[in-house]
Amino acid sequence: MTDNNQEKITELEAELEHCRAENKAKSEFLSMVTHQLRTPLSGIKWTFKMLLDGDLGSFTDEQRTIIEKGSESNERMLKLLQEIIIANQNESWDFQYNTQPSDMQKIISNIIPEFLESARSKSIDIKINHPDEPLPLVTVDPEKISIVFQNLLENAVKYSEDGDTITVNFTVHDDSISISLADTGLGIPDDAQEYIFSKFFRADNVKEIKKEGTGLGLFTAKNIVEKHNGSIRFESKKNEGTTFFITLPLSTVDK
Amino acid sequence: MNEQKVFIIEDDDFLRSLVVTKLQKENFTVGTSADGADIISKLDDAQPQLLILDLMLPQVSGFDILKEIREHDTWKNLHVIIFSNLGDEEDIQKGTELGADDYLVKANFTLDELVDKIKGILA
Repeated sequence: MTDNNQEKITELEAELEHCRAENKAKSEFLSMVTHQLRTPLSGIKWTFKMLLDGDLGSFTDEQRTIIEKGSESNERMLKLLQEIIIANQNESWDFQYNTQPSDMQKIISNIIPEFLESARSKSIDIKINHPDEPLPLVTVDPEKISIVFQNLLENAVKYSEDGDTITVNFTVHDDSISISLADTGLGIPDDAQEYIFSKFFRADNVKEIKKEGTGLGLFTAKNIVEKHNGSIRFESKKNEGTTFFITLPLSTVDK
Repeated sequence: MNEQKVFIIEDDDFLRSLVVTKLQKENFTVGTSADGADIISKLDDAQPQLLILDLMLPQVSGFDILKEIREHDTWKNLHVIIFSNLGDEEDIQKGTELGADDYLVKANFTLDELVDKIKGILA
């Protein structure tokens, strides 16, 4: 290697280190800001709950409706903040993953109940096609990988219409498993497909129907899947629906 | 029923007042502090059965307060619930390793749920 090349490498390494330090500082700043925001929002959450429970006296139906709406708005704000916190954590260089051999069927079955009420309110059917035999294990951080499927299911329910169906399938390969999550909802327009995993991106058709979102769900999902050495892809057609395919390597003990 | 005494260390005045209001409605005797300075003498004065502990505090951090309590002859077995908006796994793990009975992230819990946890621990 020439001295020139070595010099260039050293320079690039220093630059990379500088970028990492800057990124870390930015993450720490964001972490501090989100923490500071959570404190007053927690106080508002508790106040609304105490009001609605009658801890602080009674009020009219009209007042109650306003308090309920205030409480819902505050919950939405907390949820958005939580999404930002998770996205920020997953981006940071030193974020820890506590992996263990895990059964994806079990993880997904545990998540589904969270979405049943919102699905039922839109007459959306969520179906899991359970495999005939127990799935081989994958080495994942159960909490983090749950976020992936929570984000995908939330989108599927949010962007589906009355009477649509969401279907989960499992496929076992030689050294991996694939989980597909298919909906018959809005679909992703062709011109938006290359951007959907970008941070803060939201397709025009979802903005049009005024559904709330940060544009962080799929960004975070991809980030987490890739940190597990897995992959995520999708097939979608506008107005027909979207299928996401998540592939995760099997635990070595199961190979 | 014997008097049940809870002590809360929380630096945010508004949050502290809400917790106090809720706990007093549930017939707990509540002592408070906005920081963890001289924690042992504060506990000696209040004689609580349980401490609700915030983590990000002026002067002494909640983790250091918990460590001090766990190393103190009189108070080492005091029930402690960490009640913080720090919700990273490493914080939760640290709190658990230092001997907290429970770790609740404020934004994810209501005060009813906090009361249930306290009752469960003191039952």
